[in-house]
Amino acid sequence: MTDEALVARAVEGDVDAYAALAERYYSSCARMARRMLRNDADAEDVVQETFLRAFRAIGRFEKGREFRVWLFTILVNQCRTAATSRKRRQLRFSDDEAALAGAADQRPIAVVEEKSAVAAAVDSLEPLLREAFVLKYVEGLEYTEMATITGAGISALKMRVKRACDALRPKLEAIYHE
Amino acid sequence: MSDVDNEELFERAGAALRESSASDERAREALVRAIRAEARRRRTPPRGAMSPWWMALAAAAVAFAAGLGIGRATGRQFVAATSLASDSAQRHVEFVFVAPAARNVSLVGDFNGWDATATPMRRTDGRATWSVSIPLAAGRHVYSFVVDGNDWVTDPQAPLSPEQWFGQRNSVVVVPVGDRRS
Amino acid sequence: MIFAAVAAPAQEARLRSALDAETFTKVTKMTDSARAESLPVDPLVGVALEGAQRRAPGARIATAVHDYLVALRGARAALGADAATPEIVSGAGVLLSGVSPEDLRRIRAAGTRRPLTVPLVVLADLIARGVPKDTAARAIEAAARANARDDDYSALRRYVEQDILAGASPAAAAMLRVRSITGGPPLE
Repeated sequence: MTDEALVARAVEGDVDAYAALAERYYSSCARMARRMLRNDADAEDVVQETFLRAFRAIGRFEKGREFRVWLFTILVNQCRTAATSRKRRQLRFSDDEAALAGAADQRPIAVVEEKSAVAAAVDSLEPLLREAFVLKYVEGLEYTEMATITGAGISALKMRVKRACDALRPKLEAIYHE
Repeated sequence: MSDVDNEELFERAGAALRESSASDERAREALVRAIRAEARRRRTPPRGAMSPWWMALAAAAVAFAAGLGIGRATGRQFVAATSLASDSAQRHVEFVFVAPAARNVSLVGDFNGWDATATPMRRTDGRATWSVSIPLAAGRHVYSFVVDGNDWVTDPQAPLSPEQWFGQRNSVVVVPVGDRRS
Repeated sequence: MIFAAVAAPAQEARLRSALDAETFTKVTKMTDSARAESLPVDPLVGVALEGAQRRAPGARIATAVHDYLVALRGARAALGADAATPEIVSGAGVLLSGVSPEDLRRIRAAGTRRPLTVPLVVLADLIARGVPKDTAARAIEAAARANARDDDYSALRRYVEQDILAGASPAAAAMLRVRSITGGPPLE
């Protein structure tokens, strides 16, 4: 079923339809949040909060709007808020970063290593560049969509993507030409 | 035309990052559970055709907007408008929350030590809404609603507190002093 | 606040029954400091009791009280010693949202004769909903300069929230909606 059909049902109160949308977009939201927050637990919290906020607001969703872009607008703002709040917090109790390695990864080592290396490279970008790079190259969004999501102008976004790529190029070349 | 040289390098990196993570399955299931829990809290009990939960919320807001005379910490104003003043230091403020499927709702805040047993709310207007009116001193207060003894929920009509000391925000109400200058 | 009418010993009794011994000691040290500095004590007690009711670990409660005390100090420094208690408490919230003390000072200096409690509550709410903090601070500063009333800030908050839920970027929503108060062009 298309997003439009699911959204139309969700607007009418069909929870299963909304749950289907959540299942459909969970992974892309989660990977965006992980790149922006660089912490799996925070990312999971933010993604859940994003979907719950969207659920509460779905009754006001305008027909013709693209659900994914709307969802990502909420997600990006939640990520930015969480990043600010996390910087301020002094964690005196034990940080569970170590536990965030997550479940044992069963995929071939080469695949895992490539992803980790690329993730580390992208994570080293400053936040706005990282955000733009992920929206463009991981989520495959158009600049017009990115503009709606981030509130930045298209030329500003193109500049951020270019700067991100310039910073990443030597690192990615090193990863892929090993 | 791309502004970026060697586009395929970045496409490849993007593809690598699209590989799904092993922990997504568990988190996805937890999310769907959370969505269904949220829906249960807000939906009218199923009996024939169900109207969307947000229509009940909107209807309640309109119904309460027609009421006057008591400062309301919900609806359009988060600044409690008028009051039944017994003394100049405190005002009566009414709190309203729409939760048709809840079994019980209580008000917690800095005015009652966040004690969920201190200020139970009563069903009004059929079964959809809960309300309580309490005296509050002038100034800024933070509060939340506790649904069914366990779920702490912010007031959807009120500003959010900036503080999330324990992982969750609260809601804010401002009770003006007797001689409002604004 | 009701607690304001309750004597310090009664507050202490509530804290003692809610907190473990170690956390109680840490928290009352901080509330004593606040009292000595003439800073609001009730918000600190409130945070400790909230933490107890939410079953937070004692260390986390103590951290929260400490961070709040620091923010209250910063808010009073930025807003001035004559700031009213609700303004200081709201100002602390704004600092905790990431707004700089300088921006808080600018809002104070914007010259409005009206209390800043509501503007600062709205500022914190805008940030919580995703408006970048600098944009939000400038919007509130502009509104304060225009001597906006509490109702104007309430309306601003409501419209920005609706715009965001309808898909607008929070920054754009805030910059656009503050125009209805200031009557001027949108902020850059």
